[in-house]
Amino acid sequence: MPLEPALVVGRWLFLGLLTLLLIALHRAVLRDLWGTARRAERGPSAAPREPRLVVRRGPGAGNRWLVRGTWTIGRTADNDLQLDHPTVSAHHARVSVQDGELVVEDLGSANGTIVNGARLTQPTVVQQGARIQVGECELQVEV
Amino acid sequence: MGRARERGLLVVAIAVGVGGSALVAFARGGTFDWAEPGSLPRQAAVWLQLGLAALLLHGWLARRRSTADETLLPASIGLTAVGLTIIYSLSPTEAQAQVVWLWVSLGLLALVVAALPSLDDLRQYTFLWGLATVLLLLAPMLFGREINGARLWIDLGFVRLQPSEPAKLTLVLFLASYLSSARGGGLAGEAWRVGPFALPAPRYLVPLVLMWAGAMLVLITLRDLGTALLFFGTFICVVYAATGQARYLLGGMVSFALGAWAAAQAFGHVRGRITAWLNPWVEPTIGAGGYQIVQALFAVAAGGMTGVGLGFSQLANPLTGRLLFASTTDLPFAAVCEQVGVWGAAMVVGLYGFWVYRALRLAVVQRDEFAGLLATGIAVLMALQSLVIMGGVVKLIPLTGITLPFVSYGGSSLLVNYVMLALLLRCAAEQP
Repeated sequence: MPLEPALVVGRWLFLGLLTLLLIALHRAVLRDLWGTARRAERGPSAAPREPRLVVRRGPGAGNRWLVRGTWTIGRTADNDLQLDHPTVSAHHARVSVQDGELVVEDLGSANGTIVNGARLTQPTVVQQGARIQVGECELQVEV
Repeated sequence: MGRARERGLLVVAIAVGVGGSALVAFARGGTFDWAEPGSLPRQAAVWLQLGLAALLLHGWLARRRSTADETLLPASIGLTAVGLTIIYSLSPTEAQAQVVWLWVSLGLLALVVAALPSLDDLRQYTFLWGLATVLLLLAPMLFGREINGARLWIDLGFVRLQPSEPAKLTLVLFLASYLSSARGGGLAGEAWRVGPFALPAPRYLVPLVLMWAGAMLVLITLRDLGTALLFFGTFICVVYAATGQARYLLGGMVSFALGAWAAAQAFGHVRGRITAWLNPWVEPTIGAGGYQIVQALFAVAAGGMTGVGLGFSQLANPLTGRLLFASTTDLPFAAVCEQVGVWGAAMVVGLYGFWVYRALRLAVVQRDEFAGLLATGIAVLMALQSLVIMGGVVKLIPLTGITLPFVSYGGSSLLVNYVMLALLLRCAAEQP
């Protein structure tokens, strides 16, 4: 069947467009990869472990959070982890990841932060399975 | 206005649709009669409207300063554009119906992105999602209608629905919400041992196993093999992603092998699919088991490197008769291979690969486990569904009749795919 020149050109144009779309999309992938490579150059080669906090009691019970960097825990919405409960202070406690371990610090809260039954007075490393009581809410550590 | 990358990509994706439709219209002889379904001005108007709608959606996201992923919407529109072009070349009337469904899908996408306050609101309905999945799967058994030897559709009079499509979505929602709860956390535990295998406490495992067994039972009874395969794979992958334990993956693969073997022994139609896959030339005639595979292989061979040209399909042409059975719903990939060749088909495979990559990437950066698992489930579903049907068409695995996401003709499938896209756009919006 003799094809009109317009159709032949159009056919290649269509394939070209489809290819262009895919290449343009994959530029985003390349950017991701380069970003990851740069981060890997800066940071230590071994990825740090990422501890998790599970809400065992209180609002959002059952939620599980991957802690990264330093987080504040408290009643108001400007906290990284909000526990909207009357027994929780506005800014109640701070948790941070240091070398893959979770450090908890009380921020002068009214009802205190209690780890495994003991009230915190200074920044403390908490272990896997530890229960952190924040007011009447409870969080558990999973590494 | 931000999101410049999305705008540029959308323009290219829409250009694919405009160009493809124009080529098909030209191939038809290029009539300019508005009254004819597949005429040039009509097709141009359709793409102008769709393009405008997609760009409006983009503008609205940009105005809201949405941080949603900028590449997923263009990738989906690109796949839809290829799909609509192919359907149009196979059956202009079905393409017209598909355009209507596309409008509804885009509307639903906007609605989900706008009206869903937070993904977290979907988390709490764990057992509602589970129940909905089973009921949706059961529905065609109770008041379904048999089409092409399987009872998979419900007829509402004005519209026909395939309830197994939304069931995929509710299954993923159930899995994500169950596995991100405290109950799901228990799955990582080891309470008792059976020989060398350690199992978690029954109260964590039983609801999941019940759900799984229920879905499998219904799907096998309905003879919906493709969907059964999808459900099985999604279950295993999401549980593995949530627990990070290889025993679930290994257990899943072993039970899949056993289940496949048992199904081949017990059911004639399963055995038929496998023999047709191993040697379709034994019965390559119309109505016989190997017919679809043979026709699909002919289509792939005819396409060659760059295809016979859009609208010039010999195997599935509305003018010469449709040799390719169910070409718009189950086998559009064969039509893609024939009309735009291996090159075009590779681009389509690349688009799926990209889509899945983006969804998994989103899953990784989610702070919230529910959102992460939801994105994982959607990615797995998309990957499995496209692989199972594309692999079936090129005779890599036994052919099972499921839709090719975003491309196939079919309202239920398109709607669900766009809702999944909307959920991913919501996921992205919540990343830090």
